[in-house]
Amino acid sequence: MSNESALRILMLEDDRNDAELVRELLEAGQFVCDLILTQTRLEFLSALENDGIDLILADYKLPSFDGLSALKLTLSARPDLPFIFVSGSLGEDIAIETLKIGATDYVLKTGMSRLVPAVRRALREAEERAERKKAEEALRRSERELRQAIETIPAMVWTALPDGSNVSMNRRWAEYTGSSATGMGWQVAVHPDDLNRHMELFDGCSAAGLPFQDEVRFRRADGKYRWFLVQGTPLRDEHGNILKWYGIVTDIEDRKHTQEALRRSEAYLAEAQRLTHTGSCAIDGASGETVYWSEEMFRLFDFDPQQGLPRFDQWLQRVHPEDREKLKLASDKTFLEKVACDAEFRILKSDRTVKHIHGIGSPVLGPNAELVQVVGTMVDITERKRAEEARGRLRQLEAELAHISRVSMMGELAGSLAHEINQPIGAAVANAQACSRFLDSDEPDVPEAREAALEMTRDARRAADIIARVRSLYQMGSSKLETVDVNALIREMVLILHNEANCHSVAMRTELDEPLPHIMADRVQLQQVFMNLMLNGIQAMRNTGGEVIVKSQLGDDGQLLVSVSDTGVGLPMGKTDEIFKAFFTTKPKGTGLGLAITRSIVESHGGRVWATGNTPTGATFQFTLPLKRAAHT
Amino acid sequence: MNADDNVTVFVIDDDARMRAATERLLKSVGLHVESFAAPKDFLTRKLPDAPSCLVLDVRLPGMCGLDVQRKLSDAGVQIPVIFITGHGDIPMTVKAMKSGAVEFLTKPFRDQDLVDAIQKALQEQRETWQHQHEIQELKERYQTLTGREREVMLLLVSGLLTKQIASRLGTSEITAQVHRGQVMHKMHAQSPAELGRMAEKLKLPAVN
Repeated sequence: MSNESALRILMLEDDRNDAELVRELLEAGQFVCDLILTQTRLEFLSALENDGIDLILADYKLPSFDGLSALKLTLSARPDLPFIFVSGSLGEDIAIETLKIGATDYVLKTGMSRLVPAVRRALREAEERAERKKAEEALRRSERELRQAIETIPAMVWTALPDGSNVSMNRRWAEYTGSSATGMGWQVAVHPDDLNRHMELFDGCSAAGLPFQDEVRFRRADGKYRWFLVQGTPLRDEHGNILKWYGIVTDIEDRKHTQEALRRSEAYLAEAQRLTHTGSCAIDGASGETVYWSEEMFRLFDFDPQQGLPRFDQWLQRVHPEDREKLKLASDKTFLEKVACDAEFRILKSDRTVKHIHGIGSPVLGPNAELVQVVGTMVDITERKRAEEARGRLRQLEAELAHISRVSMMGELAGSLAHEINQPIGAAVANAQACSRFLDSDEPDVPEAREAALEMTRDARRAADIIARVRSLYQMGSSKLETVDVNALIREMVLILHNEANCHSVAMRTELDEPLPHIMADRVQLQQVFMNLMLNGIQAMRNTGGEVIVKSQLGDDGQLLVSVSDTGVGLPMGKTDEIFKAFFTTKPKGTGLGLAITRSIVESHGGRVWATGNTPTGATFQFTLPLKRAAHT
Repeated sequence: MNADDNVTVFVIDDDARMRAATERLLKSVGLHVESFAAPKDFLTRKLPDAPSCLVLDVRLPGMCGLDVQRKLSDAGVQIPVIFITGHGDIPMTVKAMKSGAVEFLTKPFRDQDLVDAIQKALQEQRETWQHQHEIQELKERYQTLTGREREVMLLLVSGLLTKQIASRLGTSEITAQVHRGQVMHKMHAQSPAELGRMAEKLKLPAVN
């Protein structure tokens, strides 16, 4: 013990000279000594409590005390202190006995030359002992700490023999499973479906000496299974043989759920994209590099996912040459001004077909308003475009068909219309002749003549009016919405069809709700609807005569309700819906288009048309016209 | 046209303007006109005890002009009918003329054609009236004859002499002579030939 101060020696000696001799000998041996001299048991015990003592030198025989007792006291109080007997009368057998009890050494006063080496050895050995003890203490502490750490970390830790039998498992295992893992006991906690696979995998890794990893379900104390990740690393000897496995078991149940949910959500998204032909992509805001393309994006633009993410310019090559510039401008705007862009464009597929795409680019900004990414969505709208075109063509065809039907209907009415126009002409001629006669008389009746002339003008105007109305029905025009007074329109149609009705002894009557709000409608188309329904009514009574009643009213639901009823032959039995289908007709020369066109017109105005039979005979056709787009009267 | 003739021209036309114009035209030639929009209004009216005619539009609401004509004849009303039509319809014209129409005019008609047609109709009407009047008088005279006198008249118009009549009836020639004188007197006949024409008008059966 190389204390910087002196070597502290507790000395049990009754002879001062001997004590002095010891000091001299030690000092001669390069020791600086501080001797604490004691003679009695009491003195010895009190000095022994001094922590600074490094060494005890004791005489064997003393007047009131003895060395053997001192040794025993020392061994019990300070077992680490080196204890050397220095005696003049120590027999060989006693010396051996003392060494057996625990003395460090003995030096005979007759051979004091051994003193310094003995002290030196004792001190060295004591020092070594202290060091060892300290090291052992440190090892124990570290082991304790490690054990503690292993027991408390939030994971199961295991060690196992190469055959999988457990050496140990930390208490987390017992806490979780409620059972011991000892031996092969851990296997009872494994899900029956997982055990074989798990063991095969482990045995395989053990045989190959590879790290082991598996996902397996363990049963919790309450009987529920949770997913765990089991990982292990083998410890090998110098020949590479596995001595032992060390590993951990981690609860991945929640992660598994999250992964499953994520996987499902990704599957849903991919499916949604596939079904709606919608691709999505992302481009880095700073570098302009593509960072993400969805599966559908690859499919839409004919790129192979194996070839990696296409660059913007590669993608642009797929775009129809005429649309490239437009798209580039839109994209530049988004990148430079950080605003969303929206564009419709065409792409050329490898099979030379053209597809229509609706693309939207949205900027994603960072905390400092810097452009992080541009997220793009591309929707294939080819089908929609085609449907729109088809609808447009269909509308055109419908208009043409309606026109043809109108013209053919007017053809049927030609005789009757001629009569209708002839009527005011006849009146005008009669008035003109009356006028002449009043003037030619011997006493000219000028007031009567003037009246006749005025009437003549009115008759001529009426003829012109009828011609104008009829002409509009012949015209082929695109649908045009205007403010229409339905009552006025009904009266006009009664006028035009008046003669046709007369011809078949059919009277026409109107019951109009006045005033009715005006509606926005296509005048010519509505005229056609009335003409169809009223002519049908007239023709249904051509052999019997009768009455056509046209009613208008404002319904409670805010729609105009118009009805055209007759007392004719009525509807074909059980076919009240079929009559509205194209080419359905009960007339020998009918085209079967009239009611189909009627329905198409009413529905295009947002209304509904239906037919009901009348009692005892006849039919009533009703239709609604919404006021939604109504203009004020 | 005689203004003092007290004739009436009836007009049926559902077209108000046409009706007014026709009425005005007939008025300008001094005719008295009564017009109707619908046939039923006319059919319920009692006809005047004076010559009249009907100007009828072929096409009418609820009832066709030809129907009106038929209804009139069914009801025993004898009135000449002039049809007016918007446009010439030959089958209809034939039908109308066959059922006794006076004239069939197409609108616009010449005023003179209408006036002439009306004149012709009224003339026919007058003649009919005269004929009917004559028959009526003969019938009244015939009513005054006794049974024996009616027998004598029948034999007379069959061309038998007085002696032959007496023999047929089993009477004396004197008695037959007296009956013959009574018949000639009561019937206002100047000669057996005239009596024969009267019998014809009365549609008396001939005797062998």
